[in-house]
Amino acid sequence: MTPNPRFVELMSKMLDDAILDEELVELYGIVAEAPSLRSQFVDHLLLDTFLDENLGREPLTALVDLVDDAACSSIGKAPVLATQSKNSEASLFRKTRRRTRMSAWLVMAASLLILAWFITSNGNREAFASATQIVQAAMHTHAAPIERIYIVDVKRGETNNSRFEFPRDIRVATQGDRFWVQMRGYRDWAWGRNDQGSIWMTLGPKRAVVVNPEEMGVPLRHIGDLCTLHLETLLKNFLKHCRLEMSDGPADSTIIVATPHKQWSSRPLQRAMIEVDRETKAIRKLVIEREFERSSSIVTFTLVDSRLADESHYGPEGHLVEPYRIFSAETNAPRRRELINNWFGAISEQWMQIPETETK
Amino acid sequence: MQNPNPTEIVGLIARHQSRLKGLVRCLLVRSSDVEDVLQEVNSVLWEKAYEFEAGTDFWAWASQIARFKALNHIRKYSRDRLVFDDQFLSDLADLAHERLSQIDHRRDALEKCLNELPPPQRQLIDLRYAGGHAIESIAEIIGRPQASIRQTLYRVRQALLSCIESKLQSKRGTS
Repeated sequence: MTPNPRFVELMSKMLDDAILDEELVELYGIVAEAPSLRSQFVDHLLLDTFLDENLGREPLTALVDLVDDAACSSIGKAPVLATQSKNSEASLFRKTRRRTRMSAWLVMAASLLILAWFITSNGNREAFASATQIVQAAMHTHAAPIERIYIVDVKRGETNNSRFEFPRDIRVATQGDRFWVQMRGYRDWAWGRNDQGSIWMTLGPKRAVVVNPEEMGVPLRHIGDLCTLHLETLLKNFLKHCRLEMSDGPADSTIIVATPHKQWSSRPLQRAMIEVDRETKAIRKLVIEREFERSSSIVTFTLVDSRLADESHYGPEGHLVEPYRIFSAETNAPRRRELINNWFGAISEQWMQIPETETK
Repeated sequence: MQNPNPTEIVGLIARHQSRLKGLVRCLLVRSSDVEDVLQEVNSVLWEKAYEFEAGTDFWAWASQIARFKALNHIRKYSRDRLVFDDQFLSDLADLAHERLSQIDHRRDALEKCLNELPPPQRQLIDLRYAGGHAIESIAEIIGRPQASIRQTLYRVRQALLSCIESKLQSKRGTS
């Protein structure tokens, strides 16, 4: 059957939120008069919703997953891990969806559940002591607006061929899936990843450059991935896609080792270990073994401090001195790459890739 | 009549979020209104939890409330020229309800179909949904006109729908 071209045009616009009021009336008119188009109309809208949820990883969906898992374990059933693969596309390194409104109702519901679950756990330690529940408690703890500072130690795997030598004893401040790092040495500078997944870096006290995800070259993406805990995402993936084994750790802690299930083993994560403080449920240590396309690494994050976050540090503004200039997407990519190369030298040559449209 | 406890009702509401969102999306004019209405639906489900009888069909009960809230929203906020026929909206709701009854099969099929997409098409879908890029931004990244991106995206969505349908049919054939 030949599709109605006007229906196709208007439907496309509607799905892309680019439809005008009068066009919308026209679209509904077309669909109302042609019952055969109704199923196409509904199918497209449902597909749009599923794609949004499956690939977009909205905070709302993440919260629903948390509530869902908590509900399953709190009523005494076996934890549901990796029984559903709907989120298998939500990789460790996916950036957050732009539409981030969170339902106040669900926050309340989640709090209620978690509260109920903690109350229950006080009276029944054995019931509480499952690896799944400890990971959930750690997720809850790390959702608080607290900045945690970790020392990062990177060990290269045998297959690593990266030219970038990772500095020793660097401290990463994290909150959610964002981070920032203060680099000290020959020149002081700061860099980090914001909640859109872009990496920013200061070039001295007056200038900074922002590199968007689609502009990142492999080395820069790799350095960013190495430093990022992606704690919320990582813990969620533990629950959904990993086999969890628990044992007692040093100084009142619990050790949980997560190994991906077979169907998820094509991901960069090969194995992870978390050491959770039994009392506060904060993650004291996190060891992640990852295998990337061009390298492998074992990264150890060790908690050294927790404090109230200074939001300004999660963007370049908090590390610059007025008057300053931030070169973001408004400045063309070749110019930003030139600024980076001038500051960091030859090592940064491939940190940015220039879209073909901008090379001319 | 046995009422569910709070933990069960929260679990049920949480597990049905995707279905409820899909239903509301099919009825509302603007996608930007979906989250608002969904939040209202959740509040009502929570307030009326005592009316739900444990062990009965939660989706049937919740979808009625979602349908009512969405239609109410349309009546309340539609401007004169955006008034739609109640019967037409009701037909759409029935259709969406029927599709959403098989949501798990549809999602499984979608996942398989996504993995079968050729890389350029997959990149486009990832830019749109995983990256959250608007059409203008995708056009800039890929270096093609907006209209062309929009058309291609529609074709990819259409291909995904056909793939899902074919997987559902073969599943029905084998079961």
